[in-house]
Amino acid sequence: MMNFTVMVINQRIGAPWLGFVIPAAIFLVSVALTFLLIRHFSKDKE
Amino acid sequence: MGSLQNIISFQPLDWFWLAAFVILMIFFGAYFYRMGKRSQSDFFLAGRGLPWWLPASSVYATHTATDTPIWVAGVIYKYGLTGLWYAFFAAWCAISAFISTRIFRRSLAYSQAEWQTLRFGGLGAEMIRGWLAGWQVFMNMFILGWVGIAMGKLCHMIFGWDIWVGLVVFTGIGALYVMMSGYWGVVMADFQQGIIALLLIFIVSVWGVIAAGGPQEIISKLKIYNSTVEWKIPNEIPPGTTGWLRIRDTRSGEVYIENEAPIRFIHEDNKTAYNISPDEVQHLITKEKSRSETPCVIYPTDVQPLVIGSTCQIIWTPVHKGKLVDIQFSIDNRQSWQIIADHHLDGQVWRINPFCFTGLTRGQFPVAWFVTMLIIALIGGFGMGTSIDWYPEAQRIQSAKTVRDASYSIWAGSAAVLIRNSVWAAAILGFFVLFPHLTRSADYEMGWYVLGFSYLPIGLVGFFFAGILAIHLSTVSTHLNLGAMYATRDFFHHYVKPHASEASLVKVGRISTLILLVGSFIFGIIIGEEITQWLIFALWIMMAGVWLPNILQVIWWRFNAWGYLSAWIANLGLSWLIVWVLPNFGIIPELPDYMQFWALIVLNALIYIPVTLFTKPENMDHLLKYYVMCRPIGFWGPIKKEALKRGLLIEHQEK
Repeated sequence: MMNFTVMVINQRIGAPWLGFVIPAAIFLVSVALTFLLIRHFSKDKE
Repeated sequence: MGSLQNIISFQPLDWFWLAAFVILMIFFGAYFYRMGKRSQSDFFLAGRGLPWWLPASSVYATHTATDTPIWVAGVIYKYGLTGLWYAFFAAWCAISAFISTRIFRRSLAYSQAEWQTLRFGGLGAEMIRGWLAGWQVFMNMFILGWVGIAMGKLCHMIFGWDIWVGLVVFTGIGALYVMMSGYWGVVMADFQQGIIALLLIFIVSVWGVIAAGGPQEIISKLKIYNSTVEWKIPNEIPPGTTGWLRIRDTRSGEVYIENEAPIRFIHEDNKTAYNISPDEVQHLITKEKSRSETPCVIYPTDVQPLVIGSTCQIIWTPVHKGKLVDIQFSIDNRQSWQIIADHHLDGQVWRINPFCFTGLTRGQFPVAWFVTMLIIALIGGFGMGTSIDWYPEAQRIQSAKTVRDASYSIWAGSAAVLIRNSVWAAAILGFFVLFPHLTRSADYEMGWYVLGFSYLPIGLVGFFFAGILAIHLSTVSTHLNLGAMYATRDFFHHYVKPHASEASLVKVGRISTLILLVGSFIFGIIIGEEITQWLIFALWIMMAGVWLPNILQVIWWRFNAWGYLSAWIANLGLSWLIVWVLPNFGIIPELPDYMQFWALIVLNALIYIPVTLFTKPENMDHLLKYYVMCRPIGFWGPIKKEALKRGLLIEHQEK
């Protein structure tokens, strides 16, 4: 396991803005799906 | 290089995304609190009303754990694309979706343990139910401890936390929403976590492939890389000895390469004389310019003594890429030769061929092993419990709203698992091209994590860890709820309080979840470094002897409770004997895993088949009830005939 430390190298690939745009897109998709599911199953509540 | 914390360096944007996704996942899991608490059926099966895509995403998410990329990276790095066949057992679901899944869904049993009492009757069935329930509580606790400690180790490496912190905090988060919402929380959070995990796996793998130069570059590098084989230098070689290496054609015996000057073996104390670094080994494997005109052994040479007892890579210029070669050494001035590896594929291009067989029973990819894996995957789908994955799958099957939804969910979830493996495989081939010199499994098994933490830009690193957390939570939440279901449904409800109210059953479910959580912490800390040994024994060999009985109980009416029970008991003893005891005493040789599987199948059958035939069949009324309800396929002729005679079925229904 110690060699994991040795192997990881800081050689970032891609534009820095990707680190914001990609997670943001996935987060928004997740939120949208979350609310769709909640709405779908809310009629089933109680 | 410094510590990993400095290299990964979580920036504020990373922490932001990690926090955002964690809050979202906990919120979604906990939101279904009111639905989970309604009844036992809701707490453990979401009221059996889910459309197929929800349990399908749960199948996928559950079977993607933090240790899964470690395992897949290990087999792909070592065996190339043939390593994918190690994970092919998941294809049992392709058959099961249309056979055992349908039969099980029709039974309406909560758990596999409960199904046993529908299929079998009397004392034997009760004993099986008790045993399976206890075993499943134990196994879920074990799996929780095992994936939990993997998370603990990862957090230790990334953040420098003590191992128990990652184990307790991140399994505890999962337990929080499982205790609140039960299976509703599990399956809903799995849907969200499954999507996050799937996208994450694609993103990190694409980044890894790009880092290695792209698909075309990976293939062309594999074509030019030098041949390698790992060699653990035997301790029996006396220090100071000189030796020779040669590479020859496996089939014709023609010697392609022999080193020109002898190599020297030195004692461990003399370690400073081992004058080659991992970077140099990597250089020798990858650089074309290191080759001379005539094929030769590139490493070791007469100027690089080998340390007795250490592991090195022998590197040579490939002569017939993709052909089988034997690698041998001699320490008596070439009078006799000993094998380092036989039936070994020359070059590195074989890594992109998933069908590069190395013989019927020899080498790293024997036909016999491949056929065994195919049989396990395809025939296993006729049974129930033929894979350890059946038990969580069974819960998903029962949570689907119809038999058809159950079929689709199992098929689609497993298809996603197999597709995921191939995406990982592409990334690990890229990882091999970047780091072809690793010999310790602990190093190359971390390949996928290395790709993510090395090459993703700031922000995506935080998302990467959030995705790892999603992978972890989806697995632990399933096993917490599943173990609690066996404890509640098959112990408390069945034996302790059969008339318990729904509210008290939900309460017991929550208490059981908590007990499992605490038990998993203890297990996680105890099992520590011996994870792999336990894994192989508990999940593969322990199941081998009951693999066929698990199919027979579904397809053969005459198979009875005593036969099934005897198979389990015999297997517990026989698997210890075949795997450890007899080889240790030199009574039988150490068998490859697929041979152990077949040996256990045959030896166990010698016990449970006579036990079945010398004991009475199950009660006819019991069998009729089961047959009419579940409509099993296979050898059920006498039961079908009796059902028709009694008017329980009518002829056209059968057609």
